[in-house]
Amino acid sequence: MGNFVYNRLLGRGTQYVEEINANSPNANAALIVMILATSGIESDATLRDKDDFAAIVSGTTNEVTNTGYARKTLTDASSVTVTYDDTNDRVDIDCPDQTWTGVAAGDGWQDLVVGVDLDTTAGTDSAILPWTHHDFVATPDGSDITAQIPTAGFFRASSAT
Amino acid sequence: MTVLRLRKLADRSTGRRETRWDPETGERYLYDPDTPGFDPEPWPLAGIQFEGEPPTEVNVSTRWVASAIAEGWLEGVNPQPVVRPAGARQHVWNSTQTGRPHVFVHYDALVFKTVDGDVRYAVVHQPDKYVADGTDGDLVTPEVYAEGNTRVDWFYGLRRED
Repeated sequence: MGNFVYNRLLGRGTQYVEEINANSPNANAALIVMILATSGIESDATLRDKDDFAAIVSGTTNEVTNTGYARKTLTDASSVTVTYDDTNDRVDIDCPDQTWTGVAAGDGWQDLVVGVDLDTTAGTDSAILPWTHHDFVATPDGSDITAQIPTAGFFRASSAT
Repeated sequence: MTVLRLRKLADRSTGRRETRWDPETGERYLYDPDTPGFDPEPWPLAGIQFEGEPPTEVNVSTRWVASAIAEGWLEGVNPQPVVRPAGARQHVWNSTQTGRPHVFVHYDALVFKTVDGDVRYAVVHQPDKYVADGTDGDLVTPEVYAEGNTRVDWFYGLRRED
């Protein structure tokens, strides 16, 4: 026998998705997807210390501004799934692939960030908590751009023991 | 509408599993100490179960559905592949980003094979390319493309039938 964490409680991110699902404690919670530009991007070591969306772009890092780009908002109606996987002792959080259609040339795309906004009606980037960060390199040229989410999902939580 | 929450139940009736960590990614995984090597070997799948009551209406992603069908616990009824342009204009099939058009598989229904029995959902919204603010029946015309007024939905909208 050893120490373990019950699968149901693995990961704070899982808890946020559960709250979005339950519309509790806030009915306006959602996941927000943001794209960072190639130009001015800071190192992963620097970015991972940032505590909110406003802080991410407070240095030289910028959000892209291409025509055809807008942040994606994923609510309880946006096909987010939670799989408690007892066969692997982990939890996988999945969402659909995300496509931006007809994205015009301009900023190069470098990274994709998924954040948690516990109240989308507040409308401030300082209230959006960055959750996961993914390499996502693309050069917009007018075509559609699709972020393919891995089959296992964009977030996985497992026990350290 | 609610988020779909499922549990994959493990069959721990035979064998044993121990924990290792991938030396490159640090990711934890299970392996079988009674078989050669240290390849990941999760517990056998005993079945799936909804967490709580199966939702009346729910959306699920295309990739998640494809994975579930491959694992054998989800059945797609009457699959119909469709292809849509991914280029800058409607007549440009290939995206210069991916080198290929959008490919979707439409289904009439999806049936979850749970340990408590089959749960059938009608597909009421198919993954596809749509008019951004339109209904499912609105055609994506060249004019809509020219306005950049499109969106791509990579999910199925489901409504429980039983």
